[in-house]
Amino acid sequence: MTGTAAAVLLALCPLLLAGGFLVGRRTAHPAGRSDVGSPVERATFETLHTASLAAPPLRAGLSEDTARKAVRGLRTLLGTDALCVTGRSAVLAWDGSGEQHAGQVMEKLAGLLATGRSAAFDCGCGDPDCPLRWGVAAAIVVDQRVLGALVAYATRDFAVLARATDEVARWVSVQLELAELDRSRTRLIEAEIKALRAQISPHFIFNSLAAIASFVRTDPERARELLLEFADFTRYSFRRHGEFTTLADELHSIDQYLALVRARFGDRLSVTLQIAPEVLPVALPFLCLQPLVENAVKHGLEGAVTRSAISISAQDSGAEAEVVIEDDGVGMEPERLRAILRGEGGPTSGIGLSNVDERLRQVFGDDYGLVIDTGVGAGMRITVRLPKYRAGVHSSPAGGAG
Amino acid sequence: MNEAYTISAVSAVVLASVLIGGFGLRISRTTSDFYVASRTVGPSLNASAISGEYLSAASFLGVAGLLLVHGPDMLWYPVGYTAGYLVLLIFVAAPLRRSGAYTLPDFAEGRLESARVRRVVSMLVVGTGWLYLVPQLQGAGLTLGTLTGSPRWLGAVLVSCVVVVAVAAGGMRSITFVQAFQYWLKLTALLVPAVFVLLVWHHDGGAPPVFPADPGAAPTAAGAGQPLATSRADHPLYATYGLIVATFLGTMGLPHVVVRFYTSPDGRAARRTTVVVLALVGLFYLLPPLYGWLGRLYAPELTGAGDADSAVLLLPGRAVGGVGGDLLGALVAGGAFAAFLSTASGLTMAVAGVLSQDVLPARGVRHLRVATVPAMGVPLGGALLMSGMPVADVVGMAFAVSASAFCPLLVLGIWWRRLTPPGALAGLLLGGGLALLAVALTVAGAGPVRTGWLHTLLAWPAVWSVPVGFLAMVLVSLATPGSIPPHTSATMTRLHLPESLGARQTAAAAAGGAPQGPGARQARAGRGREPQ
Amino acid sequence: MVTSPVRVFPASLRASPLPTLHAVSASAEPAPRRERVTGEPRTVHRLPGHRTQWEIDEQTTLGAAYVRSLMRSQLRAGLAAFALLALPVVTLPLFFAALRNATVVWAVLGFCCYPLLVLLARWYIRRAERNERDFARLVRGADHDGPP
Repeated sequence: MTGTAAAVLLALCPLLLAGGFLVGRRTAHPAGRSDVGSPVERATFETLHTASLAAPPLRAGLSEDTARKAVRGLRTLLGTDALCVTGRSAVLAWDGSGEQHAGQVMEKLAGLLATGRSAAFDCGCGDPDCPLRWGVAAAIVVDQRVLGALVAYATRDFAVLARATDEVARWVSVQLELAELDRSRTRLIEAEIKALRAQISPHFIFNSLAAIASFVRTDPERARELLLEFADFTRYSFRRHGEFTTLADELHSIDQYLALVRARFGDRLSVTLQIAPEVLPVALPFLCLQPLVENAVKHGLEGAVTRSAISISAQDSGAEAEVVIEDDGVGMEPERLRAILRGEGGPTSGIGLSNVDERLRQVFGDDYGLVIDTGVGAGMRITVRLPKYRAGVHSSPAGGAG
Repeated sequence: MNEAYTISAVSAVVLASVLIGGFGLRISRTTSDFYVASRTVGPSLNASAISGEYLSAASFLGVAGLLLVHGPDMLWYPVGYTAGYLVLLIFVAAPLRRSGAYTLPDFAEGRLESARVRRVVSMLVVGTGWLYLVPQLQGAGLTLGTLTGSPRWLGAVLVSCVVVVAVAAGGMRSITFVQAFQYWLKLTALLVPAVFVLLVWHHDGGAPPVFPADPGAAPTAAGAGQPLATSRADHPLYATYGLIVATFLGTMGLPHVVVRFYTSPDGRAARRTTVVVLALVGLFYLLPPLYGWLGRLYAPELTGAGDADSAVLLLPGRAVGGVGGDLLGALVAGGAFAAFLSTASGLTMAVAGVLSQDVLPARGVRHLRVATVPAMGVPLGGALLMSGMPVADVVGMAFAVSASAFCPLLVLGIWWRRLTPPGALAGLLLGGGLALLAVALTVAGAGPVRTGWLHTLLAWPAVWSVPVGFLAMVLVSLATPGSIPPHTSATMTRLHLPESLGARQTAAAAAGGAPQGPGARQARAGRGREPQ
Repeated sequence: MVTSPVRVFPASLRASPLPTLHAVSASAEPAPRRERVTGEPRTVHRLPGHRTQWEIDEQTTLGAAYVRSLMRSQLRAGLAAFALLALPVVTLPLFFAALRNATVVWAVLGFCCYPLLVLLARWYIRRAERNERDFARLVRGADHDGPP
């Protein structure tokens, strides 16, 4: 009996040991670490925190303003008496004592600005009490261009500071690179928006406002309505989110556009809309029809035509919607139109047409380009076909257009 | 006399449909009134249109005919047609609208990101559409034949010509208004004569009609012309369940029903529309049973003949008689033609759309018009070949195929993230394919199995083919976890998120305290601009 | 000085004589013919832009968790409604077969069931819309920068 008990105990021993070991590992602190953090950890946290405070101003790019905001944090990081941030030609910010030295900084940086290599120099300060005797400068480099330098000062030459300045300058460079990236992204978006805005001609804006102004005295109520239409129209045209819209929203915007145009031309322009309600939810690239209508208005009222009729129809055609925009205006030489659609039309003519054609083909495929029937003096009929569904083409939530 | 009324009523319906189609487009010269009125189709107009398109020859003629022959068990047909919309509402309506899909192949492609699934779905849609078109054309032949004595094929050819010409020429451009008009026309065409017949019945003493106590006993007289009827006689309870499963689950997959959801402005409106449809369809289905019930009294001999479907057409003449009866008969005939035209044109549009997009080679602007010819030609051939089957039974088969193929696809596609393209293919081919095969064998009256359990199983496939479809989809999907479509999560978000929130805004919300991507930031900037 | 509309108008008339010519000789000559013009095919792959849309949607991993909970609540509502529909539907044929009373079948299936279906539908959309409202409130609550 006792023999078996002993055997069982013996067998249990390794298990108990293993269990104890595991529990011990769970509960024990790793060597040198405490729950509230070692001094090294605390220093790291502080450094990270300081760096994170300095980062946001730098993300807006390097300028006097951002340098001034960032420099205190950077000096705390380095722990120097004085820190200076320069651009390519001038000191941008100075933090700490001895600001009188700022005047001589730029002349010491000529080599650094040319090569991007770090440099160290003696201050050459006559005052024996001046704490700034030695300086080290590291280049701020973005996209292989030297944008400026970070200059740290100390009482004597100091290798750690040189290394630290190098590292901080590199960190600043990375932040600025990110800023550059942000900016180029914004630029891209802005370029897109500009391209869209180019389709709404400034003439249209001036003319609309002039037409509205002409009603202010005679018919204030109408002027108010037109102004609201104008506001709505521009809000839609300048909206920034979403590549796609619905036919309903696009037609609504066209409706407002036409109201503004008619305020100007009155009876000279007659417009017929024929819309099948089935096709209103169709998704299409944003601002795809408006340039075509603008084109029709322009052609219709160009030349000697005293009255012009434009018809816009949107009809159901099975799995597609068919939008036809027709005017009885001056028309166009077919060859010239072909050149425009090839993108060779020159800067003034029909940018809208080729842009719309290209975008439609891009989104829906080559089968869905514009089909235009025209001739000189024969008016113009533009047919746009839109598939009711295309994977990936979804209008963004219509909340803004409501 | 009788013929003249009928012909003028039918012509009036055709003419009115084409005219409303042509002029129902919002024509406006002042530009501003168009938008306010027709920014999107409102739920009640849309619901009338859906009901108008949905109530086919099977509802208008077939239900009463079946009731006349087989007694009250056949009431499950209209109940199923209506309850199908409830199931559609519960599982499909709002997400389907939010998917932005116009057709079932669109949905399949958008959800599963697979061109192969799209092709298979397209073929099944075309098959279902054809199967559903056949009874419409049969009904047209029957109506014209019963009322004017013309040969059976004439009505079918007439309806197909009108539909092909109207669809191809764009004569029914504004389909919503046409279909809405036709719903109310159909309702009137059954309601007014029903009131008169009821008055006559009351005047006659109001004795209830006598139905055979055992529903299985009567149809033995129906003879070999009605294979489904005999199979019903063998196993009525199984047939009833087959019918229930097919109609309850099949409605959501009918091509002309799916297409209609596109017209709702958003998912919430799609749901509300469906409730109104349910009410409108339910209102309509109060009437056909009445005709079946009274038909037993006034036209009892029709149970024996092969053409019980003409009960609705003949009842007003039998009960009321004289010029009044003729006029009421003409009204019913007009309504019946509205039924054939609306369903047939809706189906033809849907089938032609799928044919032109997925089957025929792309050929520019005109290919939809080309596609209407096969879309209508094949079912016309079918209608001319098999004329002996009751209208409602053939429609029931179309429902069975739809329930077996599309119900699993839609329900699992909308609610189950782990559905994969191979799984969907397996389910479609096994469920839908087997149902289609069973239906084809039944319709062809395939030699060895004219009676017995096997025949019944083939004639009412939904009871076994729907579970087969679901099982195949689930099991094969589970076996192929590697091929879950990459954008499933995004697609599910779009299907279920209310439009008032929008996908991007959740992105901003989810980013809460975490680092934000450019998308989230942009979304926030965008929202700041929106009017509150 | 010369910008009065009266002067501009004839000027533009002179600038393009074609329409006048057309107006004069309209009866003699056929109207100017139109020609069909389309752009040249570009062998672009479809839609580079639609990927960004996906990416934006894809970023929402936490959003997906939110959506999953919305789906669960909606599915629960749907299944509850479906159960309410399916239970009587499954039992009724058996019941009718046992009862063998045609009048009851006519009354139940021909009349009574339709209002019940509509009521069930109304109950369901109430619940579904409430779920969506609650969800919207939840999401807006999580979004501190959003409108209140």
